[in-house]
Amino acid sequence: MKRVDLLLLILVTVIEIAVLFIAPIQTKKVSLFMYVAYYVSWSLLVHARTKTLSVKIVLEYFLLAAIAVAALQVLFITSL
Amino acid sequence: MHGLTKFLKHAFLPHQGNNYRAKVLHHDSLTYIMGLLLITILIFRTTANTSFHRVLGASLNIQTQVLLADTNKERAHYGLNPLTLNKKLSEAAADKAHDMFAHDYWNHYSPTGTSPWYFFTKNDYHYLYAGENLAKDFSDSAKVVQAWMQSTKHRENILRSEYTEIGFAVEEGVLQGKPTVLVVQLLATPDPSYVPDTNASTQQKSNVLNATSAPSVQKAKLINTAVWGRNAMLFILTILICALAIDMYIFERQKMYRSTGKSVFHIVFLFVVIIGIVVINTGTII
Repeated sequence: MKRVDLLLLILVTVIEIAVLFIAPIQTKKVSLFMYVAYYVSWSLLVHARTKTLSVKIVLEYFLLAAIAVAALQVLFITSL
Repeated sequence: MHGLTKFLKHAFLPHQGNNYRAKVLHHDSLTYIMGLLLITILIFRTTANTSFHRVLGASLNIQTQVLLADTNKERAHYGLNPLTLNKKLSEAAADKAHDMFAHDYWNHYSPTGTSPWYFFTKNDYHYLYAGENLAKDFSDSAKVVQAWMQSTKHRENILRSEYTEIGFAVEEGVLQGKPTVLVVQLLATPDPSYVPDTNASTQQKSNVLNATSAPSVQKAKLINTAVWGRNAMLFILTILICALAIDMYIFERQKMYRSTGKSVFHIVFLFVVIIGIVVINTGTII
């Protein structure tokens, strides 16, 4: 894995955490979904570069992302 | 007991029996978790407007006396005078909430062009200065005032030194197809030059509303879905993080190769989602 890939993930993660604490509610919601999408794309790109990409890995990332999105959906629905 | 230990070992510890990957992190387990969440979403979406939701619905604890106390506490913090709860203003706020449900809008102005100030005059309240703050989907009084104070415009409205009176309405209904609790806060300065037709002093006295008898929504439901939903999601994500951490630690010690995603990044990712669930306050204000 290239150092720039790691730095990029750290940077985006730090920005996302900052947004979660200071942005308005709607921005927080949108940014969380964007972060999920970014994480999946970033992971697939990194695995593709290191030639470790396989259907099994793709499925793992998509399942984790789907769980995160579903968890957020449950939260938004049940909150009232 | 032995069975439970065996199950936990199989679920969380990577060994030969689970192909050196904690069973919780296998694709089938992740699919089951996702399926469970999808079923939960489906149940709550389809029952959103039914009595089932109302029975299991959010436990609401929005009380006018707490809203008033918190508002005055914020004003006192800035050296401002406390506001008095006014009956006419509270009735105007209730009218505004009813109008929002009746015309199905989430705005200061109705689709027919009715302004917030219409409800003041409709309830025979004549003002020099007036303001309106709205909130919906909150389940706690303190969070409503907190959200208003975090927004520049709403904070300025609450901290306006000219205001002397306040009115609240907390109303339940269906807004834009979703069960909603609306909080309407009206702030004003009465017009001293206005003289009502009847005995002014008697009228003035009757307008002062006792905070404890003011409208509020406080219901203890069978299950508090807001708390339940949040805690259940936090529990599931924490289980996954624990499984990933244990799996990563044991596997790193064995120095073997396997074709999986990077556990450390998964942990960071899920941790951010957990922060989101904890931080996000789902109510909105305008």
